[in-house]
Amino acid sequence: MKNTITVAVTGIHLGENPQPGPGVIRSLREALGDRVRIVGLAYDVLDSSLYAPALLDEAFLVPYPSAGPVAYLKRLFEIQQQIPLDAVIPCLDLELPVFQEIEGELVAHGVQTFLPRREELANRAKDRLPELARCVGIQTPETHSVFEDHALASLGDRLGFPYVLKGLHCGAEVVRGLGDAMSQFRSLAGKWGLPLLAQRYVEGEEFDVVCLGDGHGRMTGAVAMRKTLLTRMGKAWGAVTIDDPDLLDTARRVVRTLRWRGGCELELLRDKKGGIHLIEINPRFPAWVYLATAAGVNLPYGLLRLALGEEVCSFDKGRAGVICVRHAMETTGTLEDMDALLTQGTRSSLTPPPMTHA
Amino acid sequence: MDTSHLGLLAISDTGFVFDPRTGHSYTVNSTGLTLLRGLKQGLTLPQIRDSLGATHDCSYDVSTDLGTFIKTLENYQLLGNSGQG
Repeated sequence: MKNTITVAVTGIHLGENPQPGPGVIRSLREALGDRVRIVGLAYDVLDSSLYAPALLDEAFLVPYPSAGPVAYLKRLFEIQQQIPLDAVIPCLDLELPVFQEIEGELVAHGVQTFLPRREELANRAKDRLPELARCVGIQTPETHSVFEDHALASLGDRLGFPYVLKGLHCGAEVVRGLGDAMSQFRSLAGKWGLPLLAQRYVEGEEFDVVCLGDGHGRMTGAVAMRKTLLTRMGKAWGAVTIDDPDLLDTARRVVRTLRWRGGCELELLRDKKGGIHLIEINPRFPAWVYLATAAGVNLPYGLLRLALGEEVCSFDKGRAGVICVRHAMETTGTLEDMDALLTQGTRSSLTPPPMTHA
Repeated sequence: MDTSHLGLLAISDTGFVFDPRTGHSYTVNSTGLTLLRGLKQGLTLPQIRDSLGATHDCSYDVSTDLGTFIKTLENYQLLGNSGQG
Protein backbone atom coordinates (compact mmCIF):
# COMPACT_ATOMS: atom_id res chain seq x y z
CA MET A 1 0.00 0.00 0.00
CA LYS A 2 1.22 3.50 -0.80
CA ASN A 3 2.39 5.75 2.01
CA THR A 4 -0.71 7.89 1.78
CA ILE A 5 -3.98 6.65 0.33
CA THR A 6 -6.71 9.02 -0.79
CA VAL A 7 -10.18 7.56 -0.47
CA ALA A 8 -13.48 9.11 -1.49
CA VAL A 9 -16.49 8.09 0.60
CA THR A 10 -20.18 8.77 -0.02
CA GLY A 11 -23.20 8.57 2.29
CA ILE A 12 -21.87 11.06 4.82
CA HIS A 13 -25.05 12.42 6.40
CA LEU A 14 -25.84 11.42 9.97
CA GLY A 15 -29.48 12.38 10.22
CA GLU A 16 -32.62 10.62 11.36
CA ASN A 17 -31.74 7.85 8.91
CA PRO A 18 -27.98 7.75 9.46
CA GLN A 19 -25.75 6.85 6.54
CA PRO A 20 -22.71 4.54 6.68
CA GLY A 21 -20.03 6.96 5.42
CA PRO A 22 -18.92 8.37 8.80
CA GLY A 23 -18.51 4.85 10.27
CA VAL A 24 -16.48 3.79 7.23
CA ILE A 25 -14.28 6.90 7.51
CA ARG A 26 -13.67 6.44 11.24
CA SER A 27 -12.70 2.83 10.60
CA LEU A 28 -10.23 3.82 7.87
CA ARG A 29 -8.73 6.51 10.07
CA GLU A 30 -8.40 4.04 12.92
CA ALA A 31 -6.46 1.63 10.69
CA LEU A 32 -4.37 4.12 8.74
CA GLY A 33 -4.13 7.28 10.86
CA ASP A 34 -2.33 10.00 8.94
CA ARG A 35 -1.77 7.64 6.03
CA VAL A 36 -5.30 8.13 4.72
CA ARG A 37 -6.74 11.25 3.20
CA ILE A 38 -10.52 11.28 3.13
CA VAL A 39 -12.54 13.00 0.43
CA GLY A 40 -16.19 13.29 1.39
CA LEU A 41 -18.68 13.16 -1.49
CA ALA A 42 -21.86 14.94 -0.45
CA TYR A 43 -25.24 15.22 -2.12
CA ASP A 44 -26.40 18.20 -0.14
CA VAL A 45 -24.74 21.26 1.27
CA LEU A 46 -26.23 20.31 4.64
CA ASP A 47 -24.86 16.76 4.77
CA SER A 48 -23.71 16.67 8.37
CA SER A 49 -20.17 15.31 7.91
CA LEU A 50 -19.27 18.40 5.88
CA TYR A 51 -19.10 20.28 9.16
CA ALA A 52 -17.91 17.51 11.49
CA PRO A 53 -14.43 18.05 12.86
CA ALA A 54 -11.64 15.56 12.07
CA LEU A 55 -13.71 13.50 9.66
CA LEU A 56 -13.03 14.82 6.15
CA ASP A 57 -9.89 16.27 4.61
CA GLU A 58 -11.68 17.47 1.49
CA ALA A 59 -15.30 17.59 0.45
CA PHE A 60 -17.11 17.87 -2.86
CA LEU A 61 -20.72 17.99 -3.91
CA VAL A 62 -21.69 15.29 -6.40
CA PRO A 63 -24.85 14.84 -8.46
CA TYR A 64 -27.53 12.47 -7.19
CA PRO A 65 -27.31 8.97 -8.68
CA SER A 66 -30.54 9.72 -10.54
CA ALA A 67 -28.51 12.10 -12.73
CA GLY A 68 -27.06 8.95 -14.30
CA PRO A 69 -23.63 7.40 -14.75
CA VAL A 70 -22.35 9.91 -17.30
CA ALA A 71 -22.95 12.93 -15.06
CA TYR A 72 -21.61 11.07 -12.04
CA LEU A 73 -18.44 9.99 -13.79
CA LYS A 74 -17.85 13.47 -15.18
CA ARG A 75 -18.00 14.90 -11.67
CA LEU A 76 -15.68 12.24 -10.25
CA PHE A 77 -13.16 13.00 -12.98
CA GLU A 78 -13.37 16.73 -12.14
CA ILE A 79 -12.62 15.83 -8.53
CA GLN A 80 -9.88 13.42 -9.59
CA GLN A 81 -8.14 16.28 -11.42
CA GLN A 82 -8.01 18.30 -8.21
CA ILE A 83 -7.36 15.48 -5.74
CA PRO A 84 -5.99 12.27 -7.23
CA LEU A 85 -8.11 9.48 -5.76
CA ASP A 86 -6.84 5.97 -5.08
CA ALA A 87 -10.21 4.46 -4.23
CA VAL A 88 -13.86 5.28 -3.81
CA ILE A 89 -16.23 3.57 -1.37
CA PRO A 90 -19.89 4.14 -2.21
CA CYS A 91 -22.01 3.64 0.90
CA LEU A 92 -25.60 3.95 -0.35
CA ASP A 93 -27.80 1.32 -2.02
CA LEU A 94 -29.02 3.56 -4.81
CA GLU A 95 -25.50 4.45 -5.91
CA LEU A 96 -24.53 0.89 -6.69
CA PRO A 97 -26.08 0.59 -10.17
CA VAL A 98 -24.35 3.83 -11.15
CA PHE A 99 -20.98 2.73 -9.78
CA GLN A 100 -21.33 -0.63 -11.50
CA GLU A 101 -21.73 1.27 -14.78
CA ILE A 102 -18.68 3.46 -14.24
CA GLU A 103 -16.43 1.01 -12.39
CA GLY A 104 -14.39 0.15 -15.49
CA GLU A 105 -13.73 3.81 -16.32
CA LEU A 106 -12.79 4.56 -12.73
CA VAL A 107 -10.33 1.68 -12.55
CA ALA A 108 -8.87 2.71 -15.90
CA HIS A 109 -8.17 6.10 -14.33
CA GLY A 110 -6.58 4.64 -11.21
CA VAL A 111 -9.60 4.82 -8.91
CA GLN A 112 -10.21 1.41 -7.35
CA THR A 113 -13.53 0.13 -6.03
CA PHE A 114 -14.80 -3.11 -4.56
CA LEU A 115 -18.46 -3.49 -5.49
CA PRO A 116 -20.97 -6.30 -5.67
CA ARG A 117 -21.57 -7.44 -9.24
CA ARG A 118 -24.93 -6.91 -10.94
CA GLU A 119 -25.95 -10.53 -10.59
CA GLU A 120 -25.23 -10.60 -6.86
CA LEU A 121 -27.08 -7.36 -6.37
CA ALA A 122 -30.13 -8.78 -8.16
CA ASN A 123 -29.96 -12.10 -6.32
CA ARG A 124 -30.10 -10.47 -2.90
CA ALA A 125 -33.04 -8.18 -3.76
CA LYS A 126 -35.99 -8.35 -1.40
CA ASP A 127 -38.25 -9.99 -3.97
CA ARG A 128 -35.63 -12.71 -4.61
CA LEU A 129 -35.02 -13.61 -0.97
CA PRO A 130 -37.19 -16.77 -0.95
CA GLU A 131 -35.16 -18.19 -3.83
CA LEU A 132 -31.87 -17.26 -2.16
CA ALA A 133 -33.00 -18.67 1.19
CA ARG A 134 -33.84 -21.98 -0.52
CA CYS A 135 -30.35 -22.13 -2.03
CA VAL A 136 -28.71 -21.31 1.29
CA GLY A 137 -30.97 -23.65 3.22
CA ILE A 138 -32.44 -21.14 5.64
CA GLN A 139 -35.90 -19.83 6.36
CA THR A 140 -37.30 -16.53 5.14
CA PRO A 141 -40.80 -15.19 5.71
CA GLU A 142 -43.31 -15.83 2.90
CA THR A 143 -43.16 -12.79 0.62
CA HIS A 144 -45.43 -11.54 -2.21
CA SER A 145 -45.15 -8.61 -4.59
CA VAL A 146 -48.02 -6.13 -4.34
CA PHE A 147 -48.81 -4.03 -7.38
CA GLU A 148 -52.20 -2.61 -6.35
CA ASP A 149 -54.12 -1.97 -3.16
CA HIS A 150 -56.92 -4.38 -4.20
CA ALA A 151 -54.55 -7.22 -3.33
CA LEU A 152 -54.12 -6.16 0.31
CA ALA A 153 -57.25 -7.88 1.62
CA SER A 154 -56.45 -11.26 0.08
CA LEU A 155 -52.88 -10.92 1.37
CA GLY A 156 -54.37 -10.37 4.81
CA ASP A 157 -56.27 -13.66 4.42
CA ARG A 158 -53.20 -15.45 3.20
CA LEU A 159 -50.53 -14.06 5.54
CA GLY A 160 -52.76 -13.10 8.46
CA PHE A 161 -52.54 -9.74 10.23
CA PRO A 162 -50.17 -8.31 11.16
CA TYR A 163 -47.93 -8.56 8.13
CA VAL A 164 -45.11 -6.36 6.88
CA LEU A 165 -45.38 -4.03 3.88
CA LYS A 166 -42.05 -3.02 2.38
CA GLY A 167 -40.71 -0.84 -0.37
CA LEU A 168 -38.56 -2.67 -2.89
CA HIS A 169 -35.46 -0.71 -1.80
CA CYS A 170 -36.32 1.06 1.44
CA GLY A 171 -39.08 1.46 3.98
CA ALA A 172 -41.07 -1.11 5.95
CA GLU A 173 -44.21 -0.93 8.09
CA VAL A 174 -46.03 -3.55 10.12
CA VAL A 175 -49.71 -3.37 9.16
CA ARG A 176 -52.30 -4.59 11.66
CA GLY A 177 -55.49 -4.50 9.66
CA LEU A 178 -56.89 -3.74 6.21
CA GLY A 179 -57.36 -0.01 6.88
CA ASP A 180 -53.79 0.25 8.15
CA ALA A 181 -52.57 -1.73 5.13
CA MET A 182 -54.37 0.60 2.68
CA SER A 183 -52.98 3.68 4.36
CA GLN A 184 -49.40 2.34 4.52
CA PHE A 185 -49.66 1.11 0.92
CA ARG A 186 -50.35 4.67 -0.25
CA SER A 187 -47.59 6.09 1.91
CA LEU A 188 -44.91 3.54 0.96
CA ALA A 189 -45.86 3.47 -2.73
CA GLY A 190 -45.75 7.28 -2.79
CA LYS A 191 -42.25 7.30 -1.30
CA TRP A 192 -40.63 4.27 -2.89
CA GLY A 193 -42.75 3.33 -5.88
CA LEU A 194 -44.30 0.00 -6.88
CA PRO A 195 -44.26 -2.88 -6.44
CA LEU A 196 -44.31 -3.17 -2.69
CA LEU A 197 -43.68 -6.43 -0.91
CA ALA A 198 -45.94 -8.07 1.64
CA GLN A 199 -44.07 -10.30 4.06
CA ARG A 200 -45.40 -12.66 6.70
CA TYR A 201 -44.78 -11.26 10.18
CA VAL A 202 -42.52 -13.52 12.22
CA GLU A 203 -42.40 -12.92 15.92
CA GLY A 204 -38.92 -12.99 17.36
CA GLU A 205 -35.82 -11.01 18.05
CA GLU A 206 -33.94 -9.20 15.32
CA PHE A 207 -30.18 -9.41 14.92
CA ASP A 208 -27.99 -7.77 12.31
CA VAL A 209 -24.70 -9.02 10.91
CA VAL A 210 -22.20 -6.88 9.03
CA CYS A 211 -20.00 -8.88 6.65
CA LEU A 212 -17.31 -8.49 4.02
CA GLY A 213 -17.18 -10.91 1.09
CA ASP A 214 -14.12 -11.31 -1.11
CA GLY A 215 -16.14 -12.00 -4.27
CA HIS A 216 -15.00 -15.62 -4.45
CA GLY A 217 -17.30 -17.00 -1.78
CA ARG A 218 -15.16 -16.29 1.28
CA MET A 219 -16.46 -14.18 4.13
CA THR A 220 -13.37 -12.40 5.38
CA GLY A 221 -15.04 -11.14 8.52
CA ALA A 222 -18.36 -10.50 10.22
CA VAL A 223 -19.80 -9.14 13.44
CA ALA A 224 -23.31 -9.70 14.79
CA MET A 225 -25.20 -7.28 16.97
CA ARG A 226 -28.54 -6.76 18.67
CA LYS A 227 -30.15 -3.36 18.59
CA THR A 228 -30.66 -1.96 22.07
CA LEU A 229 -32.16 1.39 21.12
CA LEU A 230 -34.35 2.08 18.10
CA THR A 231 -35.32 5.27 16.33
CA ARG A 232 -38.89 5.87 15.25
CA MET A 233 -37.83 4.53 11.85
CA GLY A 234 -36.53 1.32 13.42
CA LYS A 235 -32.90 2.26 12.88
CA ALA A 236 -30.30 1.30 15.48
CA TRP A 237 -29.51 4.12 17.88
CA GLY A 238 -27.83 1.76 20.31
CA ALA A 239 -26.47 -1.76 19.87
CA VAL A 240 -24.33 -4.44 21.46
CA THR A 241 -22.09 -6.95 19.71
CA ILE A 242 -22.87 -10.60 20.34
CA ASP A 243 -21.26 -13.98 19.79
CA ASP A 244 -23.80 -16.26 18.14
CA PRO A 245 -22.12 -18.91 15.96
CA ASP A 246 -25.43 -19.75 14.26
CA LEU A 247 -25.86 -16.18 13.00
CA LEU A 248 -22.29 -15.99 11.76
CA ASP A 249 -22.63 -19.37 10.08
CA THR A 250 -25.80 -18.18 8.34
CA ALA A 251 -23.94 -15.08 7.14
CA ARG A 252 -21.05 -17.22 5.92
CA ARG A 253 -23.43 -19.41 3.90
CA VAL A 254 -25.19 -16.40 2.37
CA VAL A 255 -21.89 -14.77 1.38
CA ARG A 256 -20.67 -18.08 -0.07
CA THR A 257 -23.86 -18.69 -2.04
CA LEU A 258 -23.98 -15.18 -3.46
CA ARG A 259 -20.18 -15.00 -3.87
CA TRP A 260 -20.71 -11.55 -2.43
CA ARG A 261 -18.15 -8.93 -3.30
CA GLY A 262 -17.96 -6.06 -0.82
CA GLY A 263 -19.68 -5.10 2.39
CA CYS A 264 -23.21 -6.02 3.30
CA GLU A 265 -25.59 -6.25 6.22
CA LEU A 266 -27.85 -9.20 6.92
CA GLU A 267 -31.03 -8.61 8.89
CA LEU A 268 -31.93 -11.85 10.64
CA LEU A 269 -34.65 -12.83 13.03
CA ARG A 270 -34.57 -15.57 15.63
CA ASP A 271 -38.03 -16.95 16.36
CA LYS A 272 -39.09 -18.20 19.76
CA LYS A 273 -38.00 -21.74 18.90
CA GLY A 274 -34.53 -20.53 17.95
CA GLY A 275 -35.05 -20.76 14.17
CA ILE A 276 -33.22 -18.16 12.08
CA HIS A 277 -35.08 -16.27 9.35
CA LEU A 278 -33.42 -14.11 6.71
CA ILE A 279 -35.32 -10.82 6.57
CA GLU A 280 -33.21 -8.64 4.31
CA ILE A 281 -29.74 -8.14 2.83
CA ASN A 282 -28.50 -4.59 2.50
CA PRO A 283 -25.82 -4.37 -0.21
CA ARG A 284 -23.38 -2.11 1.65
CA PHE A 285 -21.99 -1.55 5.12
CA PRO A 286 -24.58 -0.38 7.66
CA ALA A 287 -24.35 2.92 9.53
CA TRP A 288 -23.26 0.99 12.64
CA VAL A 289 -20.18 -0.50 10.92
CA TYR A 290 -17.85 1.30 13.32
CA LEU A 291 -19.21 -0.90 16.12
CA ALA A 292 -17.64 -3.88 14.34
CA THR A 293 -14.35 -1.98 14.15
CA ALA A 294 -14.58 -1.26 17.88
CA ALA A 295 -15.12 -4.99 18.39
CA GLY A 296 -11.83 -5.67 16.58
CA VAL A 297 -13.08 -6.39 13.06
CA ASN A 298 -12.26 -3.45 10.79
CA LEU A 299 -14.25 -4.39 7.69
CA PRO A 300 -13.97 -1.03 5.85
CA TYR A 301 -10.18 -1.32 6.04
CA GLY A 302 -10.49 -4.89 4.75
CA LEU A 303 -12.63 -3.64 1.87
CA LEU A 304 -10.11 -0.93 1.02
CA ARG A 305 -7.33 -3.50 0.93
CA LEU A 306 -9.40 -5.73 -1.36
CA ALA A 307 -10.11 -2.72 -3.59
CA LEU A 308 -6.38 -2.03 -3.81
CA GLY A 309 -5.72 -5.64 -4.75
CA GLU A 310 -4.05 -6.54 -1.47
CA GLU A 311 -4.25 -9.76 0.46
CA VAL A 312 -6.85 -9.84 3.23
CA CYS A 313 -6.65 -12.65 5.78
CA SER A 314 -9.82 -13.70 7.53
CA PHE A 315 -10.53 -11.56 10.57
CA ASP A 316 -10.65 -13.11 14.02
CA LYS A 317 -14.01 -13.25 15.72
CA GLY A 318 -15.12 -9.87 17.08
CA ARG A 319 -15.47 -9.26 20.80
CA ALA A 320 -18.95 -9.72 22.22
CA GLY A 321 -20.29 -7.13 24.63
CA VAL A 322 -19.03 -4.00 22.89
CA ILE A 323 -21.81 -1.45 23.10
CA CYS A 324 -22.52 1.67 21.11
CA VAL A 325 -24.95 4.50 21.52
CA ARG A 326 -25.34 7.09 18.78
CA HIS A 327 -24.68 10.60 20.03
CA ALA A 328 -26.36 13.42 18.12
CA MET A 329 -24.83 16.84 18.46
CA GLU A 330 -24.61 20.01 16.45
CA THR A 331 -21.76 20.52 14.05
CA THR A 332 -21.14 24.09 13.00
CA GLY A 333 -19.90 25.74 9.84
CA THR A 334 -19.54 29.18 8.41
CA LEU A 335 -21.18 31.02 5.56
CA GLU A 336 -17.85 30.74 3.75
CA ASP A 337 -18.10 26.93 3.93
CA MET A 338 -21.60 27.04 2.49
CA ASP A 339 -20.60 29.59 -0.11
CA ALA A 340 -17.72 27.41 -1.29
CA LEU A 341 -19.89 24.31 -1.47
CA LEU A 342 -22.75 26.01 -3.29
CA THR A 343 -20.72 28.03 -5.76
CA GLN A 344 -17.64 25.85 -6.27
CA GLY A 345 -18.96 22.47 -5.18
CA THR A 346 -16.10 21.93 -2.78
CA ARG A 347 -14.87 22.71 0.70
CA SER A 348 -11.22 22.27 1.51
CA SER A 349 -9.72 21.86 4.93
CA LEU A 350 -6.36 22.84 3.54
CA THR A 351 -4.95 26.31 3.91
CA PRO A 352 -5.66 28.14 0.65
CA PRO A 353 -2.63 28.91 -1.49
CA PRO A 354 -1.23 32.43 -1.06
CA MET A 355 -2.56 35.09 -3.41
CA THR A 356 -0.31 35.67 -6.36
CA HIS A 357 0.37 39.12 -7.73
CA ALA A 358 0.98 39.93 -11.33
CA MET B 1 -32.18 -28.72 34.54
CA ASP B 2 -29.84 -27.81 31.68
CA THR B 3 -27.29 -25.29 32.93
CA SER B 4 -25.05 -25.32 29.83
CA HIS B 5 -26.09 -21.82 28.73
CA LEU B 6 -25.05 -20.40 32.10
CA GLY B 7 -21.47 -21.31 31.23
CA LEU B 8 -21.54 -18.70 28.46
CA LEU B 9 -22.63 -15.86 30.71
CA ALA B 10 -20.23 -13.16 31.77
CA ILE B 11 -20.98 -12.50 35.45
CA SER B 12 -19.27 -9.66 37.30
CA ASP B 13 -18.64 -9.55 41.04
CA THR B 14 -21.11 -6.69 41.28
CA GLY B 15 -23.96 -8.71 39.82
CA PHE B 16 -23.94 -7.52 36.21
CA VAL B 17 -24.72 -10.41 33.88
CA PHE B 18 -24.18 -10.36 30.10
CA ASP B 19 -25.37 -13.04 27.71
CA PRO B 20 -23.00 -12.92 24.69
CA ARG B 21 -25.33 -15.07 22.57
CA THR B 22 -28.23 -12.64 22.68
CA GLY B 23 -26.74 -9.36 23.88
CA HIS B 24 -29.16 -9.19 26.78
CA SER B 25 -27.89 -7.99 30.12
CA TYR B 26 -29.30 -8.36 33.62
CA THR B 27 -28.48 -7.36 37.16
CA VAL B 28 -28.81 -9.62 40.16
CA ASN B 29 -28.43 -8.94 43.86
CA SER B 30 -25.97 -10.81 46.04
CA THR B 31 -28.43 -13.66 46.62
CA GLY B 32 -28.99 -14.06 42.90
CA LEU B 33 -25.25 -13.91 42.33
CA THR B 34 -24.67 -16.76 44.77
CA LEU B 35 -27.37 -18.80 43.10
CA LEU B 36 -26.15 -18.13 39.56
CA ARG B 37 -22.57 -18.99 40.44
CA GLY B 38 -23.70 -22.11 42.24
CA LEU B 39 -25.70 -23.28 39.24
CA LYS B 40 -22.80 -22.46 36.94
CA GLN B 41 -20.51 -24.58 39.15
CA GLY B 42 -22.97 -27.46 38.93
CA LEU B 43 -24.09 -27.36 42.55
CA THR B 44 -27.42 -28.97 43.45
CA LEU B 45 -30.26 -26.88 44.86
CA PRO B 46 -29.75 -28.21 48.42
CA GLN B 47 -26.05 -27.32 48.15
CA ILE B 48 -26.93 -23.82 46.94
CA ARG B 49 -29.47 -23.47 49.75
CA ASP B 50 -26.77 -24.39 52.25
CA SER B 51 -24.35 -21.98 50.62
CA LEU B 52 -26.89 -19.18 50.89
CA GLY B 53 -27.49 -20.07 54.53
CA ALA B 54 -23.77 -19.79 55.19
CA THR B 55 -23.35 -16.39 53.58
CA HIS B 56 -26.72 -14.77 54.21
CA ASP B 57 -28.87 -14.38 57.27
CA CYS B 58 -31.79 -16.63 56.28
CA SER B 59 -34.45 -16.92 58.95
CA TYR B 60 -36.78 -19.02 56.78
CA ASP B 61 -36.68 -21.80 54.19
CA VAL B 62 -35.60 -20.22 50.89
CA SER B 63 -36.60 -23.19 48.70
CA THR B 64 -39.64 -21.37 47.33
CA ASP B 65 -37.56 -18.28 46.49
CA LEU B 66 -34.98 -20.48 44.79
CA GLY B 67 -37.70 -22.10 42.71
CA THR B 68 -39.03 -18.70 41.68
CA PHE B 69 -35.56 -17.53 40.69
CA ILE B 70 -34.97 -20.66 38.64
CA LYS B 71 -38.32 -20.17 36.91
CA THR B 72 -37.21 -16.62 36.05
CA LEU B 73 -33.97 -17.94 34.55
CA GLU B 74 -35.99 -20.43 32.49
CA ASN B 75 -38.31 -17.67 31.27
CA TYR B 76 -35.27 -15.73 30.10
CA GLN B 77 -34.00 -18.90 28.43
CA LEU B 78 -30.84 -18.79 30.50
CA LEU B 79 -31.67 -22.15 31.96
CA GLY B 80 -33.08 -25.06 29.99
CA ASN B 81 -35.82 -27.06 31.59
CA SER B 82 -34.99 -30.66 30.87
CA GLY B 83 -37.46 -31.91 33.46
CA GLN B 84 -34.78 -32.80 35.97
CA GLY B 85 -34.22 -31.49 39.50
